[in-house]
Amino acid sequence: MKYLKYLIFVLLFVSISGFKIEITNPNLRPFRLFIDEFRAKHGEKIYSQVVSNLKMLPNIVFSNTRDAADYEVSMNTEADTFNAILTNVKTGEFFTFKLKPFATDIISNANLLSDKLYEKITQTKGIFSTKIVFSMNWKGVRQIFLTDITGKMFKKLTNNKSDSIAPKISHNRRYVVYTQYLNGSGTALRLIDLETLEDKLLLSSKEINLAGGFEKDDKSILYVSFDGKVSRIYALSIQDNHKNELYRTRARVVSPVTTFEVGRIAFVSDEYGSPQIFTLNISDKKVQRVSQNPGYITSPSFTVQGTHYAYIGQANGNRNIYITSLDGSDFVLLTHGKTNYEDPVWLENERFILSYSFNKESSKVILIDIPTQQNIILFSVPAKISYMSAR
Amino acid sequence: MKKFILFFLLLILVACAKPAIEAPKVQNEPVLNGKEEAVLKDAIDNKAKTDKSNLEELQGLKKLSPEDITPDMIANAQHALSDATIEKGALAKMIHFDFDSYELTAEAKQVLDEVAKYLNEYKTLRIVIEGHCDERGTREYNLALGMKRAEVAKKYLSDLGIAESRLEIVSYGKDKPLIEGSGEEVWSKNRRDQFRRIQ
Repeated sequence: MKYLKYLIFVLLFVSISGFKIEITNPNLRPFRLFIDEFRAKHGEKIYSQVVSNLKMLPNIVFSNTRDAADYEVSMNTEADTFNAILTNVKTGEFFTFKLKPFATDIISNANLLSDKLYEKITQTKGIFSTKIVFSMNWKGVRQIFLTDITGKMFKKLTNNKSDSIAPKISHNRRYVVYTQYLNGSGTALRLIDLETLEDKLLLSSKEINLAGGFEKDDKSILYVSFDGKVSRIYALSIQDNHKNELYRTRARVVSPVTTFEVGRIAFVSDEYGSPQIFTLNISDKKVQRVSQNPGYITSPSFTVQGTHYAYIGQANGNRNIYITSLDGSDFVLLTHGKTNYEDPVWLENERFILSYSFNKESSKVILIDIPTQQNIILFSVPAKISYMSAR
Repeated sequence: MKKFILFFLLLILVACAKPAIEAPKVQNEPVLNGKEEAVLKDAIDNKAKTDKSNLEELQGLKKLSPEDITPDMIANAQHALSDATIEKGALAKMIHFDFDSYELTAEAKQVLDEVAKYLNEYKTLRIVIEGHCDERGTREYNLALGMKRAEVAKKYLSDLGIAESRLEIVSYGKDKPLIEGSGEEVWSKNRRDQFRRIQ
């Protein structure tokens, strides 16, 4: 009876949208959480950030009483250690998480703890340690920026004299590859190590070189190079800068990305007119068109299972996010806004997709909950951001 | 103080809605010819008349305090100025394309003929052809389209006898619109090739 309203909601949603995708660990049922009042002298900021983080997720519902909850969280501090104890109210089973030291890097610690709690409660991957990179105008030149999922830890990664665009972050969240325009013409691909902040040149040429993303093992990047006549897809080792041409065509090609299936990548091409999504089997070079809608289809992002992908589809002048399986079944229009969505990223937790939109004055970074199609605005930036990527 | 000056600069540039036209006049060097200037003025005026949200935006800007100015607004204002002062003569002209197309129109070929004549006059001059797109479509795909647009202009000039070594190409996709906004009037201006000399 207690779950009746959620059941009705889900049934209603299924009937309206025709939603059929089986997400790994869907956990459509919200978990009820009771958090004890925080009593320690220090650590309030971590406590409030964790509460704020968990409250925004549709599958975590805060309960007013312990008895009505599935899980209870109590937090306290001792010396330089912050403790969080998660208890399963029904079974009494409990888990303790310790942050030490906790007084510095408050937001990172809060995000880390939020993920630990979320993962234990839902048995799915957390999302709060996600790193987001994007390009934004800064005093007349576009630079690369990094932030966390709360938008509270902004960092300007580049200080280049010419425009820097299209950053992509590695799966292990350590590296960022981006494109820098050279003076005159041509572009360079550069790599930033987020641990050391070293910014090294990978290659430069007269073509437009644009990274699509990292390969599954993070040892190389997939990028496209086009000179106006021919588009070429390469895999480029970030260790020794060795590049391997995977595909070439006279069509326009962008966004080479991993499908998370070994030996298979995806990309966007207008080989047959409007842009569509294709896959390339690297060993036998076999190319297969996977998107079958006749419209404008770009910006693919695959689930880590490799079974489904999200993409941007343009219809009636608006760019919305769609999700579908590789064989074209389980097709769902995920967003219905009049705004334009850009660069969807299917997070490792397969329930959520990260995207952004902008109007004339600001950009909004949005978390989309797939089962409920709820849009959660994570943060706004009072400027136009572009080329967002996240992991 | 610096922010205050930037604030007033921004108000003058944006609220008056014609910075790209007025800025070069200060230098007494017409960057746009009379016809181009009229077209641009018309586009901006039409946009202001027909786009209600744009009007609201302009009214909103008047209420801004220096603290409200974002790096993006400053960058756009600077970009509008730099675009207006890039080139003069034949190189100040642009060629325009149909939606999602990189085919040269008859008008575009006329402009390229003038550019070729100019390059034949100044034999040591090297230029970059910049391909641009309108706001529709995704950024990365538009970068590819912009490169195609730049390449067709390069090929046309090359066929007219201009050495390829004097012609570089680059694409900015939809990242550097000539005019901010939406609607075919604006989009048609933004789908363009621009020319820039290599210093």
